[in-house]
Amino acid sequence: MTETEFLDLISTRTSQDVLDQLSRMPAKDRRAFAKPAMKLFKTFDRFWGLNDGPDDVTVLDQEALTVAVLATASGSELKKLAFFPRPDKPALIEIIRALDPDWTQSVVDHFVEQRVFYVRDFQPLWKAGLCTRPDSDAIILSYYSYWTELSDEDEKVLLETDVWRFFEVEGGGEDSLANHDKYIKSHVDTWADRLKQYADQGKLDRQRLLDASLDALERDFGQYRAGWYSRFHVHLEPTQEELAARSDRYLRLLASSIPPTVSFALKHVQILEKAGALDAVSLVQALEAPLQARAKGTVTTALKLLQRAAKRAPDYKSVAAEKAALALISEDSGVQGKALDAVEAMDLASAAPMLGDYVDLVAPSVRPRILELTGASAEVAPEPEMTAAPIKPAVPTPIVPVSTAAEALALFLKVLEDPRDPFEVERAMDGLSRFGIDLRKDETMLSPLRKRANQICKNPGESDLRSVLALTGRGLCDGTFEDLLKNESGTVPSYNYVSRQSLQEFHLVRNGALLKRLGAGVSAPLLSLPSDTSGQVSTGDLMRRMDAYRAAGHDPDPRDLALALMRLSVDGDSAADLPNETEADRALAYAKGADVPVGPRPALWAAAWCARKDRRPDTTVSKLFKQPTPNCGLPAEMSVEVKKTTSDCGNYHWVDVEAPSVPANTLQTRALPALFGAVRKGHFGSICTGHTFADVAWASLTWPGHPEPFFRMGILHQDTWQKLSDNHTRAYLEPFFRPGPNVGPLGAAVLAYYMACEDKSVTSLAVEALVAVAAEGRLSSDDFALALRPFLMSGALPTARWTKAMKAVSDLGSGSFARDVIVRLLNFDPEDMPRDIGGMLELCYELHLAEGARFDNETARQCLASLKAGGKVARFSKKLLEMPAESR
Amino acid sequence: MIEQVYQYDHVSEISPTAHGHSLALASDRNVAADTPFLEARALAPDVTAKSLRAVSEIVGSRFYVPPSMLAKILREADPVVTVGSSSTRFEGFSACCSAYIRLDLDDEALEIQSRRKGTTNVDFGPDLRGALPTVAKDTELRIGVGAEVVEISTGDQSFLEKKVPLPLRWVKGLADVQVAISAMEPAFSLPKIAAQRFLRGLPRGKNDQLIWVAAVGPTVRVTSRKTAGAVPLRGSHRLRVFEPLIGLADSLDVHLNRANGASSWCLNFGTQRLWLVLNAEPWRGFSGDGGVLSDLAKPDRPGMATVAAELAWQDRIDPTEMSGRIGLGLEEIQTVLGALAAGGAVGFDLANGSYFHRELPFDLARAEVLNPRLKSAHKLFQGGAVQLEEGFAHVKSGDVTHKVTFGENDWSCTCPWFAKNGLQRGPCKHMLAVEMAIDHP
Repeated sequence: MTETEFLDLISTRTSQDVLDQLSRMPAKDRRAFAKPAMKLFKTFDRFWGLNDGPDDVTVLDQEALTVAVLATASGSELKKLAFFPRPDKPALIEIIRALDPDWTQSVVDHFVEQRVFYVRDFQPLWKAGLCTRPDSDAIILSYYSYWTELSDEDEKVLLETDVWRFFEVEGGGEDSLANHDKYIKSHVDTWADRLKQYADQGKLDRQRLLDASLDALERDFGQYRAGWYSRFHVHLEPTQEELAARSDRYLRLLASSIPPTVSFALKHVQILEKAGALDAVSLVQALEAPLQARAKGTVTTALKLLQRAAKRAPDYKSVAAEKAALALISEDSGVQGKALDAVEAMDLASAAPMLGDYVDLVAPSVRPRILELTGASAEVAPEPEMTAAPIKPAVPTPIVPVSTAAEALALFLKVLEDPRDPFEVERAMDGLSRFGIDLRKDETMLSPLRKRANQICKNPGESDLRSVLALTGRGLCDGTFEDLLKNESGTVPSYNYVSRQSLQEFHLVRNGALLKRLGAGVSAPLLSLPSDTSGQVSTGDLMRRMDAYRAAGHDPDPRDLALALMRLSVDGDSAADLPNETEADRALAYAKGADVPVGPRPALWAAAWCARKDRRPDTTVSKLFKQPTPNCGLPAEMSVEVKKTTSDCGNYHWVDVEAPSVPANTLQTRALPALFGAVRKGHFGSICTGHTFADVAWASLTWPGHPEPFFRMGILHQDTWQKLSDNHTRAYLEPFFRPGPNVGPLGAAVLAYYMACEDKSVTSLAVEALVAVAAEGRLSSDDFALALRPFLMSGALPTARWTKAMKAVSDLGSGSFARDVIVRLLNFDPEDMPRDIGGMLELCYELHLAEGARFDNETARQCLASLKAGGKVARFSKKLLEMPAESR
Repeated sequence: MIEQVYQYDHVSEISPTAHGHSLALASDRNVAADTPFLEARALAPDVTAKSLRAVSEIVGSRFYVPPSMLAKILREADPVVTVGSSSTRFEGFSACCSAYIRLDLDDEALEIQSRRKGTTNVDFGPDLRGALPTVAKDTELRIGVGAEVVEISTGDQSFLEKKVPLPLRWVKGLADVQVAISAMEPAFSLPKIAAQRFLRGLPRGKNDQLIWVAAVGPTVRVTSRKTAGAVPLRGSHRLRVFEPLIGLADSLDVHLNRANGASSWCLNFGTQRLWLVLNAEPWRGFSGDGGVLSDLAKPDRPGMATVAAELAWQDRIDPTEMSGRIGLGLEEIQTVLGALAAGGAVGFDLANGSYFHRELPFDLARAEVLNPRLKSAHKLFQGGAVQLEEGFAHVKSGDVTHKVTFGENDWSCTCPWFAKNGLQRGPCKHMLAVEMAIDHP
């Protein structure tokens, strides 16, 4: 058979015909067609699931290609495929029987190890004796992954061998016993039910099942998957005798690193202890781990058991008291109090030396008691060694421009790899702006940039900013920019690389103009390079830079100037001596408060208006736009609206946060200030700041003197449930760490909102940002409480998140700020009381104690007095109301 | 990929005795001799047993699975034990190459019956791992390390054999981590209770957020932004292995390698110390840090053989004393020791600030050849790609010419590697090629 005949065969005949014909050929002869068979198979495989195929080739039966591959390929060729080529017809077993390939065992072993679902596909082969069953965990995982009715033969294998491996093979991903039993259809038995039935029927050794489930709990299985084994153990309903026979095992499991396993063991230990089936001394020793658990319930139960054990073994009271002191490590003041109760009840003298170690760590409400018990005094505590520097307020540090062409290139190459620091990005652009012409004269010097920029353009990743920089780099090397964009984006310069109506689109255009200027042989500084780390451009710097353009006889690029004006600092320089010759001159003079003729470029004048100190409505500017446009001669009024939305079924709810802007940018103007006022479209449809940390960080430098519109984006961009390894929304917090203006309502709302995110990397940074602005006096506790209040009262997010955040604020040294915020939040009607407010009241109480502060806010006192609640709310309301009116 | 074949006469096990437990650690048949490496009684049995479990836990951990590697080839390698003249060390390296752990047992932690100096692998199975935490403070723990320390009737053919394919980055990382450790400086030390609070405060799940940890008096301050005096920590979940042990420790001592951001966290129990060395990022192997590449790039290392000949399982190698004895300069000895560390011949002990002798039981002879950066640099140099000028050099690599600028302490290159990493992860291949050219003018 020639190759043409072979291809004709597999393209025009059915899979059964192909199998019949190829199985009659010797294996060696078939192998000769391996390459064309695989090539055609792969050609069609690309269209898998599309009910389609390549235009230039037709095949009667695609299954025939699969048969052809199985008939011609070697084992190693098959193993290189991502999936085993498995035809539906004829059945695999028939194919293997007919072809009798030499690879059956190795290929079965390989694919079973790769993916569990192959167990089902290959099972007929080993049942028919065409290969042996692989010795792989995948066999056990296949029991977990799908439900099957077992034949008598299969059941025998399960009961004799496989079932015991259930307790050794943990599984992972979707395949685990925990997953199987959780998601199985309601009418089908879970594995836990099935195994119990087998035990009840005497088909499985019940005692061995009990032991095996405890064995599994002693292994290093993950918490979720380990849960199945503890539930199964409980499901077997061990008798008192069975429990007693395993008492050592339960005691041992108290040291498990998995909290639910500890709870499970503790419950069984409690039963055994009540029945007097435990050795008191062993119990005291074994309780060491649960006494230091994180879960409050576990610790309090362990303390109770400890005291009971100490009663039964009085000789061990001192040891038990020492163990009880270990529970002081708990962060909860209630648990700390119970630990001290236990110490006092058992043997204070023995444990007293240990208590001293905990004085600085216990809650303020517990501290006086522990000091009293140890006989120590707070005043005599030695001065702690400080290895960490205190958090310092941000001070403006000058941004130093690069000074040589080599430095400019090195910096540009650096930001091309890592553009997360917007100041470095702007320094790099300034470097190109001033030294780009020199760089272009040296092709050798530019060669690394040419290569790297091309590489990044081919695979730019998610960051718009990186694309902008790579395109800029290529533009510099190639000497053209518009042509480059045309070539890259098709026929029109539509900048396909970056998001439309975004700040990076603006950035790309700015850089394009810069390159065009370099092409015209004009070197000049970047007008918009921030003068210092506040992100602002000083008037003096901007004037000097504009002088450089004037000297070069070149008009500044209006986009670069617009950005420079947006960044212009509101310093003391007046408009008195400013030139008034060009539109650029007039725009700067207008920005500094001069009364000059306005126009014709709307975007430039909108930016100039933004730079004005007062930002009063100015119709001369707003009329440059077809209709009222936010912050384009007309201040945008922005607010935050928070509500809790519930799903139609009523089972789910989430937070809906809106930040309407009046007026909104309904015309979709590309003027810089208007970009932040877009109307929300879809969830993230109107976000102009970008998708990555680098994009958002660069956007944060757009209007550093008035970041409220930027914070509006931060509110719209947040998804409180999202946990990311590099959460881009953290970049919205960057302005808080820079020298800047007082934090406005939207900035405060960002802090309040971000503190309640699921992603700890966001919450912790928000806490630090709040501490920073509070320490600098840029945000008062009143204003922050005002911003936090709508979020708290909406009930859309757990109150405990803000409680934790406030505790963290306090731990970072802003305890009084945290306390004042909580006090100011205590201003609601009893029927509107936020859920779980008890924890916050407890924190409020502890913070008052820690600083000896008065609880004298009348509104807060009235609020607490009006509450009709029990539990923690009642307890700490009472304690707060009982606090002395005067400071101690 | 190196295939490591472990052969053990029996499975390591911990079994009950009349007074407590007997821990029989099977050593590799390829290394073991007639006499056991160690027979001793642990004087703080709970600490030693739990620490050994921690070693085993790290060995079996994958904090990160490199995208280019299938999880199935990341099998765990067995820990390495070194019996020295006055200490015993158990070392392990996570399968993902991001965490190195070592238990250092001073002689005061053991009542030693017999010892034979040397290094070997020891078998550490899951059953043993599960049983170790059950060793209590007041029970006896006898430790034996050797081929025949447990009386199990084994025929000639019945031994345990494990074949573990070890990625090169793993083998090199285990050696190179010593170089990273040797450049660490003390950062801070926390008393037991503060350390316990700190560990409890760390997220329980996988966490790749970069945090900064600093001591503020008796407590710890954890921030998301860099603060002066703070130690960077990414992948803090790797420290969870300390949780069961922190209550038994005297302090938690932290060291930092300021150059590459790696940190060492040591639970100090007095007579024994458990070190956990974490690289700056869980996905970054120590092997890529290139701490000794410049030394390896040197044409010849006079003194390498001389220093190597001096190694005799010392627990503490004193370069000053050695310098006086063998007549090599102190700096040269330090350089050679760094190169020996990268070759797996010595480890570094931060407790006394010195190297100790041990021979990793892996084939590291080809380490230099296997180092891709060094290999590429050789290729560039030998291909005549380096053109030296005054204060800088041009290195032609394909159609790109990189400029390497060099000075006393100020090297730079225009390649993406340098743009991304600077000198944090050692010199780039272009710099190495220039170094070779300078050494061969």
